[in-house]
Amino acid sequence: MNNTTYPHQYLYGWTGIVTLTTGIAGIISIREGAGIGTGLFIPDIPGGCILLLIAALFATAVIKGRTDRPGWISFSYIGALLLVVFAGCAILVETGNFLTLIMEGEEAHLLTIVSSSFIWAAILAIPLLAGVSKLLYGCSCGGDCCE
Amino acid sequence: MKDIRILFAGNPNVGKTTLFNSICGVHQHTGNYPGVTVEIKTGKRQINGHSIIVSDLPGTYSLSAFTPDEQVARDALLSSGPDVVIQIIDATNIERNLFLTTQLMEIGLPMVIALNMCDLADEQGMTIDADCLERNLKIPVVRIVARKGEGVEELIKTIIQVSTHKTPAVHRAVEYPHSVTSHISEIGNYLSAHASLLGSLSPHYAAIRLMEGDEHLEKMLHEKGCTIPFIDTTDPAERDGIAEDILLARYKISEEITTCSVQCSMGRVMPGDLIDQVLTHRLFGIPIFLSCMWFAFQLTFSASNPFIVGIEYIFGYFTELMNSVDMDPLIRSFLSDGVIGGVGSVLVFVPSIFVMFLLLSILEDTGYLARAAFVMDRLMHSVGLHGRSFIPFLIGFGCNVPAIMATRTLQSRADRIITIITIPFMSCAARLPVYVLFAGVFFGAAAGNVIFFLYVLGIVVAILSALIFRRLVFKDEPSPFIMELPPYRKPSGFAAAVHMWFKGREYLKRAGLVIFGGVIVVWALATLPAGVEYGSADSLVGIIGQVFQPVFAPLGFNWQLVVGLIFGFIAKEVVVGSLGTLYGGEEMLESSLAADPTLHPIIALAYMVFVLLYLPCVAALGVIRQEMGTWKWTGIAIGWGIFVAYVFAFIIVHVGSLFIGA
Ligand SMILES: Nc1nc2c(ncn2[C@@H]2O[C@H](COP(=O)(O)OP(=O)(O)OP(=O)(O)O)[C@@H](O)[C@H]2O)c(=O)[nH]1
Ligand SMILES: [Mg+2]
Repeated sequence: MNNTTYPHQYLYGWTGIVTLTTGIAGIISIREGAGIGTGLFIPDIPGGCILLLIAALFATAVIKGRTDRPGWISFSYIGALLLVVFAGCAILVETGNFLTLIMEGEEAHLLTIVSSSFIWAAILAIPLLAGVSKLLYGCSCGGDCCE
Repeated sequence: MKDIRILFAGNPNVGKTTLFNSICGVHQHTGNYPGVTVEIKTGKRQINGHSIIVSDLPGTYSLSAFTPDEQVARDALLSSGPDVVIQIIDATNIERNLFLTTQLMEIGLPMVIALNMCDLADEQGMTIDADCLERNLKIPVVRIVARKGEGVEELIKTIIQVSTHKTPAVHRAVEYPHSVTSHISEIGNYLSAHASLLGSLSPHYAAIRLMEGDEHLEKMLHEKGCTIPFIDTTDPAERDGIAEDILLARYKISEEITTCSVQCSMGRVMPGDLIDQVLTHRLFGIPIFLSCMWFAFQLTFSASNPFIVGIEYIFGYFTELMNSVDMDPLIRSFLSDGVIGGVGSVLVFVPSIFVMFLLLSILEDTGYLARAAFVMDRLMHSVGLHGRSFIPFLIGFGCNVPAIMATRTLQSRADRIITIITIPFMSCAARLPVYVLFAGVFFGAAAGNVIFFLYVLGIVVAILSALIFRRLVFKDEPSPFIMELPPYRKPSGFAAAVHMWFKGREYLKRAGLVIFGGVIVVWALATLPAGVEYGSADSLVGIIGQVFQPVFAPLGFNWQLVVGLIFGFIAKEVVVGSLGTLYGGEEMLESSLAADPTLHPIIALAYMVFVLLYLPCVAALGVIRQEMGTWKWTGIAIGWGIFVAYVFAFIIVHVGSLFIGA
């Protein structure tokens, strides 16, 4: 495997973008939770804090990436993995809430299922997850990706 | 045909219990971390007229046992005289596993090696030459994938074959240097003269064990008045030197055999250390763990809610059906208040329990929970809890009983006592219905957060209690934490679902027996004395509740809630069961709680916290007594729980009412 042909710089740049979007998604969730948001997203203060945590993981990945390639890979991998898994959980949670409301005969909007800011942040993280996990598995084959 | 008695031995976390379950068709607990099995479990399988009696042992790295669970394994191997010993070996980690093989084969019992996790070895690009292993060890080797049941039939065939061999088993001998062999024969000769003391051990083997530093055997011989040559006549430094030589000889042969039989190529290996760097990070480790838990409880609440509502509909339908049928009022009350109201209101929460077990099992299988234990160790060690205590804590989220038994993996008695006292603060599945009910009624959309808060509170109280006991009672330091971090493994959805199903079924069975019994007692007490209005303050249960209610008055609990607490001692599910009985009809429970003027969110929170902390159920209490060995510590555990529960509930009610100004 040859490092130089790998589009690392794109993935690395993408990590930066995902850091920003995840952070923004976190801030939006918290603002919604505090009642000063747009009302488009689900208010969720703890969820927002978790998004900020994940953004911090990405940020660490970006900072580490300048000198320590495996550090970048592992931090962005875990960040993206958590984000995608949590987004899946968020969809399930909202689906559950939606069905409960319907079954209890109350008003419910189908759109709430996808209004968790996790989902939007996670969509951007999917390419990162795919790319980085390839690199990660590469690290175990004699460590050529890790310099 | 005679019975064939076999033992499953092996390192921790290699899949012994998974294989045991697959052979015996049972469902003992498995999980991707060392120390899941702590006592011997025995099962049976009939095949071709043979009846095979299988015992699953706790995992052990060597036969020099340190912890209670390792001792159990050692004793079974050395003194129960099985027909065949099956060593389960993790194919991805052969060299480490072979160390135990070198010890097992010296016992001189017939052996079979089950090379497990061959699926993972393939995935990781390892080629394992099973024939080469077999030739080198002189032990039959069978490849299996325990989780999928592959190779299990062949393994059984081999076991039967080996057990019917007439000639004694001769395995590969470990080549010790001359310095060691001369002492072995010296001690061996001496022991031959005292062979009757050794039971089934051969003098030669006993000599090796003694030189390796087997304190149990040494103590046993000393008690019988033996003066063992070399052991009792040489200074400890020289003995340590010899023990080290033996160790090196074992490592050497393990390495040799591994080199010739395992070939690695490029494959997909999850580089665990890279991942661990993040998951066990100084700053991020604990927040990541908390986020996972937070999502787990959001899911537990929200994903199970539609099912709960569905089940409520079904019970509602039955209630209506019953109301339309003419029947004796007493029977009607029995059915609607007792059965549907009591048992029904507990059964309603089965979906939450299922979801929680599913999530717990997935987390367990990935290997993440062991990292969580590692991360928490830093925190726990500083407050005087052993890091390994966290594994029993996590098991305690399912049920406290196996969690208390899991403390057997702790070496020091002080560590064990402290952990046992704190385990009841781990919120077991039986308490979940109380939270889902009260949080759902009084906290609406924030219910998931409330439930998360309760679980975290449980952990915090456990840690604080440990701190207090460590400072006041056990002043020594906790012994150092050494736990092997298991490899990351992809969880199998199927395995998790099976696990969920059996755990959930256990819960249902309990609902059928204990909970039904408890609820019926409450119903009868609510009906008696004859003629009294059902469930009123004048009924027996009302009288009992009112006798104790003053104690709880500062916490704002009404007598119905107090009755729930009292009968919750039988099993925590009965808390909801008896409330269901008293508040009349399951369908009504949620709305009647919401409508009760004596209740409001702060009291509901205090009640949930009280239920979380106050008292283990009868079953857990029995195990605490058994594991502690004395009533003194059992009593302290009970008293401490009630005290802490009262204090916390009191603080919540009084601080809380400052906020809402009531
Ligand atoms: N991929 C794969 N995983 C397996 C296999 N067998 C077991 N496992 C997994 O390995 C983990 C450990 O299995 P257990 O059966 O609990 O191991 P054990 O040897 O009984 O462990 P202790 O009781 O702690 O000594 C579980 O998560 C299983 O699902 C296998 O053949 N392939
Ligand atoms: Mg086991």
